[in-house]
Amino acid sequence: MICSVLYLNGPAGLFGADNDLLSLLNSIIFLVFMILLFTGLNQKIQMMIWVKNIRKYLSRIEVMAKEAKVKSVETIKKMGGSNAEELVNRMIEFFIISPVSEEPTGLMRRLEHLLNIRDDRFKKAIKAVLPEASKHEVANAGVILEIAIALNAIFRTVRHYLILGEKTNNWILITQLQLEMPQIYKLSHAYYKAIDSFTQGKPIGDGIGPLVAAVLSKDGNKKIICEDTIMSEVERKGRKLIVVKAEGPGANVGKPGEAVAKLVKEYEGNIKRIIMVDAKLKLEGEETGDVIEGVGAAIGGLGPEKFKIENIAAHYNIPLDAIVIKESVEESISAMTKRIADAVDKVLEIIDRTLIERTKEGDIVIVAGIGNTVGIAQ
Amino acid sequence: MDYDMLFTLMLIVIATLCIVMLAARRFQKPSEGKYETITLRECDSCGYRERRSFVKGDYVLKINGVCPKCGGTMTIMKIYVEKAEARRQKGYKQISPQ
Ligand SMILES: [Zn+2]
Repeated sequence: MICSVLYLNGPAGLFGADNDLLSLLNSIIFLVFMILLFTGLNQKIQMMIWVKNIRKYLSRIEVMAKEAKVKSVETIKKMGGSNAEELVNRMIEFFIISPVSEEPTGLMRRLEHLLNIRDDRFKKAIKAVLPEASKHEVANAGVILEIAIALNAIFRTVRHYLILGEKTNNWILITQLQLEMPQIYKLSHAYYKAIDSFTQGKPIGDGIGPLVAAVLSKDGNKKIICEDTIMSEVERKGRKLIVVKAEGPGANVGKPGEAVAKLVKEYEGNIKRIIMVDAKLKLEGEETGDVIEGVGAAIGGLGPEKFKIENIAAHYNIPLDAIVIKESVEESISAMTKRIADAVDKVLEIIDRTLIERTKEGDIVIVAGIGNTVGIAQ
Repeated sequence: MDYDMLFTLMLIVIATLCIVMLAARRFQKPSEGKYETITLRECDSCGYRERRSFVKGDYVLKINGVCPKCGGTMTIMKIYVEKAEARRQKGYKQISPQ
């Protein structure tokens, strides 16, 4: 806009005005703008501004990543750990190499194997510095350490692209980064805030599945079905419910897939339905805490647990019902909000309706509450 | 004559302002209200509900305290965050049993 106005003003100033200094000034401004436009220098200036902006965000992410590291050291120390620094420094760049997927035979089994090893390594490393801590404390310390790892990874990746973009003068890279920065920052900030939930043992948004399971199985008799996973049997509307959730109140997601598969096998497929309750990523503009129904295995993660449930359900021809609660990524890793907590009653209503409409009295139904069970016991 | 000068000066000022605004675009921090974590307890026998601030060590399904109405045990049923202002509006009144 300014350029076009100057363009009009420029020639007018050159030929019409009687003030020489003014017309000269006008011509210079006009020329500078033209040179900037045609040499691409304006883009350089734009890039400089963007790089400056990215650096601002990056420095904040760096501070959060460093503080997350300090906080995980502090948490472990507070729990009575001795070599906390050494452990955190050793694990901060811990990685997992994803299995070959071009040859899909047994992919899920291979992936599960790798994830199990990773989990095991993590738990053992933390247990080694915290020999006297309870299972739940170890789980919480593990999650805080994972947050520090995630923040560190975000920081290193953004820094990589920024430096690469600057070095190679790749303005597309810089533009992309600049546009994504607010979102990346928001996610990092949510991760950072999540540390507080885990140190205090507050339930997070993702814990809505386990919360529903906990409310359902309040008066049931509980027993451990597989690693970190609890089952309990309760009566509801004359049906027998087998409720599956991760073992709380430590930060745990358990192995619901394995648990469901084991239960179905135990009952030799004599299960009327499998109902899964989980948090689902909402789309922008949708309301948090909305409860919707569908079919399929409502479970996130990398795949092995989902695969197991789908497999066993297909094998025994058991219908899979999904009940999901909408929330954003930030909400799913931050302390549970009232809107999400209040969804429990709506979910229970839907479960009751499902039981009445699609099962008969005396049927056996599995209800699995999927998610991180921090702050939620059984 | 003077209008011409005025016009040019105005344009220069606008252009400088635009450049300054672009360069000093402010860093957007996610808005953060005052939040408070609430623990909601419910009586096992009469269903009486009570809310209080969260204390470390609270978790859902923890048996916590005695019911002031019937003397039964109370269990924590929900823990959630709420905007502090919203709470003040509603007051710190206890929620009546349904
Ligand atoms: Zn009572």
